[in-house]
Amino acid sequence: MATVRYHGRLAELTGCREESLDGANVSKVLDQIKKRHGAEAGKLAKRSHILVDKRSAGAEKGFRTPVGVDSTVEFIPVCGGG
Amino acid sequence: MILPVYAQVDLTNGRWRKCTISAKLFEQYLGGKALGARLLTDLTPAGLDPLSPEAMLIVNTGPMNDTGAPSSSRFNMTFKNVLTGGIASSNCGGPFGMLLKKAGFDGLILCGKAPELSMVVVEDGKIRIEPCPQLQGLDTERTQEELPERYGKLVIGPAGENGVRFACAASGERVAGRCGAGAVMGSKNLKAVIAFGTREVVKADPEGFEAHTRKWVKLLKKHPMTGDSLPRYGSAGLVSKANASGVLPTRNFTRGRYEHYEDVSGETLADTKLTRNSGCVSCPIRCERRVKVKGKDVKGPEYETLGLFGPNVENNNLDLINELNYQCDLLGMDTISLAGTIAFAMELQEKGMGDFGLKPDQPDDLLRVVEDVAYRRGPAGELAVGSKVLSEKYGGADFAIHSKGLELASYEPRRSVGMGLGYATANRGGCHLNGGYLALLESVGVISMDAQTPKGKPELTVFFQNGMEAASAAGFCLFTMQAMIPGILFHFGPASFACRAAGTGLLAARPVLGQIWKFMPWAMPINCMLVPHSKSIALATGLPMTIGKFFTVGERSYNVERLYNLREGLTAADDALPGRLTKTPQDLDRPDTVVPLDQMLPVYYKVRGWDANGVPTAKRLKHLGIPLPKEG
Amino acid sequence: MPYQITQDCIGCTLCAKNCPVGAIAGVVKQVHTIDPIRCTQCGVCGRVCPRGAIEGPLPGLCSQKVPKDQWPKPHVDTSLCTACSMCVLACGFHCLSISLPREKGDLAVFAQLSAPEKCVGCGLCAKACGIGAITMEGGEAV
Repeated sequence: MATVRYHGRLAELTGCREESLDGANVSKVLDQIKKRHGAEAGKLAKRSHILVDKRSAGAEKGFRTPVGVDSTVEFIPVCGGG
Repeated sequence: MILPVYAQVDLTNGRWRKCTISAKLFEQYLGGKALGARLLTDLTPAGLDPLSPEAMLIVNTGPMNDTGAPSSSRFNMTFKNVLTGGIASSNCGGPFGMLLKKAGFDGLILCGKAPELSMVVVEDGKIRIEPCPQLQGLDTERTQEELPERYGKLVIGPAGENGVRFACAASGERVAGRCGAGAVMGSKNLKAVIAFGTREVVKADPEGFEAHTRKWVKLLKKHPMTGDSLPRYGSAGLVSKANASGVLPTRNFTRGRYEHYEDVSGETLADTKLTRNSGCVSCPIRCERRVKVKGKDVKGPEYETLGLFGPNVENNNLDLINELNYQCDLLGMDTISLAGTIAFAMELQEKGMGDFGLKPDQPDDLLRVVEDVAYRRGPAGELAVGSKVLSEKYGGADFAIHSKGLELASYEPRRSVGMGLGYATANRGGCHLNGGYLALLESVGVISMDAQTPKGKPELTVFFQNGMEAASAAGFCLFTMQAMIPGILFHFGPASFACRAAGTGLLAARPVLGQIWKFMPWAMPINCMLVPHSKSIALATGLPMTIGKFFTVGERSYNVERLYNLREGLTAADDALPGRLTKTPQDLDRPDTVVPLDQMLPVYYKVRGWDANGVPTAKRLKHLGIPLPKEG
Repeated sequence: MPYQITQDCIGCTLCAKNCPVGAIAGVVKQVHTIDPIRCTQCGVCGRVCPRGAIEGPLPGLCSQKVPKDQWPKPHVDTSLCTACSMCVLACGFHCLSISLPREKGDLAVFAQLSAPEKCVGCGLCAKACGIGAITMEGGEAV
């Protein structure tokens, strides 16, 4: 079971900051989130910066980035500024 | 076409006169920082002391201020940079600019020094100077409360009066923070400028303008960045991703990650401290945070303040950051330069190179330090000169985190090397926005780009520097440009193939981006909703503005600013970063985590059409319609 | 033309008190004057003057008093309004404000007429709005 951590509005939607989820890669974890917390949470998670063990999934293999059993997957809202 | 009307005011004797900007200058520079740089170059001799009476302070607006276009309240202050000796432009979203325009002037050109503490009153096309000894020593909030109610106000706090070199000027709760605008006002005995009137901006095509504005506002509201994440988290929302990417400066830029980042993140701020969001007048984005400090509803911190008063001084107390932010506004100081200087002084002290009475293990003591700096008292009062001057006296140039003398913003460039190039080349010094803000593409935004490669970064830096320069000149907020990133990418998500392809594509576009400036005024002879700014300017002013011409305004302005810097004695050697960022890898196992400035600068100069010494060539200046600088 | 005050003025100060831009000056019981540069031709002075002593916007056209309940009032189209606050800045009597979020994280806030009793119906808010989200309703349209 990987540890999943939510930030911002996603934490509000799922009602928790941290939970354990199954999934061999990011895509599978996203499916789990959708199943457990609904489509809105699933959509928001997909649109977040996804970090697998502190590495950005965008810089790895995207949604196919593998997730290990002791991995931590973090979801950070996409922001802007300057 | 209605041309901008400026007033030249001599504070020494109170005389003033009106002058109209020529149609040619208006079309070439629009207003704001671009026109400001042109006027400062033309109207002042080289080599002035920025704090001398002869120095000039230009406070001006752009053609879009007070038109009702989105995020168009931003006015500009141009002067000789107190911290770098080069050009300074400082931008503020307060209501002063709009009311200055309503009062009948598009800009004020102030010079001289008032015999006693005074304020300039602008009313219905007339100007007078009034002594205001009763305002001496008052903070920016009290000062504005003492001034007549409905006026647009631009004031300084005690720090400006005391000549703190990074003092800011405030209008409402917004500030023109960087480069020492407050110090310049203070040096002229100018406590405040206030303006009121009812002049209306006459638009070339009022119906077309309103229809275009409606369309644009709708686009901003629908865009995931300007319509959701900026109002929800503000710029503060960048902390978490900055930390994940290793660009969150920690302990005076020794690291890019902070173990307690969550205590000071935008999400935590929104969750635990935020009362509501707000914004500058005229802005549909509304990214401003509102928080409570000692029970009072005040402006919350931006990302820069969170990063530099948080991780960079190893402070994880969010309430304290909110209070420091508010205190800096009251006293009238730039949080970026002040916090950067404090972090540098802390390191000096730790290394036994100086003693400023700082207590790094007691973050609460920072409130005392901030006050001491503003009043220039005690050992901490020495910090009022900024990092560069401090390093000249105490050493430590390698870890004095500034470029040209202006402290860097809250992006650690060793994990965002394009941002490093931007800091080094920015005309006003180590500024992320004047530097092209590549951090948004490389490290913290939706697009996924190789942050370490130097390839393609000079081309992108030039592109965004010019674009943001033009937006500022017109009077728009730079955040309106963030909607240029296609909204669809946000829907796919940053981990998607599309966002990775966008990053790779932008880097691969470097041959095009490198050559485009040679053809620019005609390269994009169109207007479209990707860059709605140009059409908005065309409809409001009647100028034949296109996207190509809009970007050319930016390029022209960037070159004029560069020429000013060269005239004042800055050289290519000043396009530099401290040794910590160019020589020591952030991650010792990864030698590429430095800023490869020597690889990027030659390409950057070439794309800009400058010679190997960073001097604009006569050919490029002619292409841009800029008069050649006088010899000697 | 900007509005003017005729010799019928009795110096009751009502016009000066109600002018949203402070364009009218004068002392009690003396004829008041309107600053032609400041005047925005909103017509509020004419609606409050008990003597019909306001001339404008055309020469020879004198004002008529209008009861307060017949003054126009701003109406905000919340499907367009973005809470940009241009109207709030334009209002001389603090009649408008931005609504508070209904719940935590609510981003849908709008301009609202929060102090209707102070509104003089000058229409400056509607003029200031860049997207025409405010219309003046009721009374004689300005």
